[in-house]
Amino acid sequence: MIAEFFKTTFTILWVIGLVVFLFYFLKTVIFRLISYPLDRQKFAGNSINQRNSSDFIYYIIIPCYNEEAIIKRTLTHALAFAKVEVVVVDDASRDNSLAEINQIHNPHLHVLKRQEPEAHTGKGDVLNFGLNFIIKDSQIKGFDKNKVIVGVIDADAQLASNAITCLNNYFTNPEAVITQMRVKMYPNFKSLLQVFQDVEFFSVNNMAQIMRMYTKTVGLSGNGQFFRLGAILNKIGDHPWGDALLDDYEMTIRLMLVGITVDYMAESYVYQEALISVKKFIIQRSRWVQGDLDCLKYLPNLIKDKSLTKTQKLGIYYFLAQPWLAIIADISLIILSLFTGVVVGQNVGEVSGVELTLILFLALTISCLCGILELVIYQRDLHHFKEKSPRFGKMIVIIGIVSYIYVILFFSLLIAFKRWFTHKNSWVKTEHGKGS
Amino acid sequence: MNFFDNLHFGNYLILLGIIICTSLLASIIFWLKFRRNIKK
Repeated sequence: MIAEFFKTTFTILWVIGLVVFLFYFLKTVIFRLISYPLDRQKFAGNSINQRNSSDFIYYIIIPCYNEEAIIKRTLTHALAFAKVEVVVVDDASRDNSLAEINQIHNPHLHVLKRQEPEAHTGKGDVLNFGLNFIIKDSQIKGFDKNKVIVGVIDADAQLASNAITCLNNYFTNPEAVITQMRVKMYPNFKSLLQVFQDVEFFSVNNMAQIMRMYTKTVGLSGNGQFFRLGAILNKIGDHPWGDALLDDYEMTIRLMLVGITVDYMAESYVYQEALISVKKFIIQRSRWVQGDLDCLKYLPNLIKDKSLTKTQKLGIYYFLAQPWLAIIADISLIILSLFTGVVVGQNVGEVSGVELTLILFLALTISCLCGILELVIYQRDLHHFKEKSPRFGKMIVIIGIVSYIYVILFFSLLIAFKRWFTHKNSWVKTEHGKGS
Repeated sequence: MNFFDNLHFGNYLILLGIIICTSLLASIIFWLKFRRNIKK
């Protein structure tokens, strides 16, 4: 009786989890494959006309903490763009980051230093510190705040060569306030986990962001966000970033609460490093999950808010509910797999080899359907941008990784929930450029 | 007893079919409702 009760309960939970996941996934695929080609011109940076302006001043904030391995490369690349001021904020690095930065002599490079004990208080504070400098510097130089565009890229990031052109196209529209760029991993993959992260960021997240353009719920990532200084100062002041672990999504919510929706730029992107180590990958993801759980503090304000549409609210609720849905679905799947295992064990003599092979093949194929679809779209995306594609054999394995990544991510969920329930908020940031 | 009945594999397969069809139908309805809801 108890076994039957558990089986029914977890089957219902598994069904709910799967329906929600499939519904979300399928609608992102439909918007990506049907709507995006039709509405391409309506996405950030894709509208080109004669009046497009290029008289913007770009300030790019690069937060830096122990980035000696890659910071020089990142700064050199960012400084190669015309009309770009690079603001690197060193958050009291304990390695040779500052020495590396000081090797670059360029009037467009501004090095800001945060000193202990004020340092190490979170990425949000580092970004607000950088913005504070930009406000003062642009005032001194007499720039029009509506022509000043502020961007944020990570210390391991590089903008694609068409980035500034696309940004000029976007900000020429005086109503344009803020855009999030597509994100891609550097293509020099050394492991399958890195290819997986590229599929995830470059294609799967891209599909979700495209769909969110229609529901007006595009989310900011930490890397590749650009906004018009004047508009942001008017709407949310000179400290737009908060102190949540997931500072980018927290800012998205804060913006939406004051009536600003983020636009999405799909035809240009920012590169970042993919992690090699599975352990670091699990830790990175648990930090993100805990950050998501942290954002639950905005739930009362969101529920009370009258300005957001129901769809926008549902979009945010879905994002906030993701860790809960994922852990419930995972636990249900584990329990149901155990039940199935027991039944298979009891019937092992009665099953023919052909039957068993057929069942396993069917189960494997069904479970990989979403992964196959994602890989087909990924291949198309790489081809569109003339990016290097991994070998066919690798891609087949990647289908398996994409389809079963939730097994690895289950550990991230467990760590995140444990830390969230015990109020542990200190995190070691992801290392870049050290073969991580 | 039939293997599929015992394992309830057939039942799970039918359930999976219903889940996929429901999700697909819901996504198409969602798309039809929101496909024009983009900034001009």
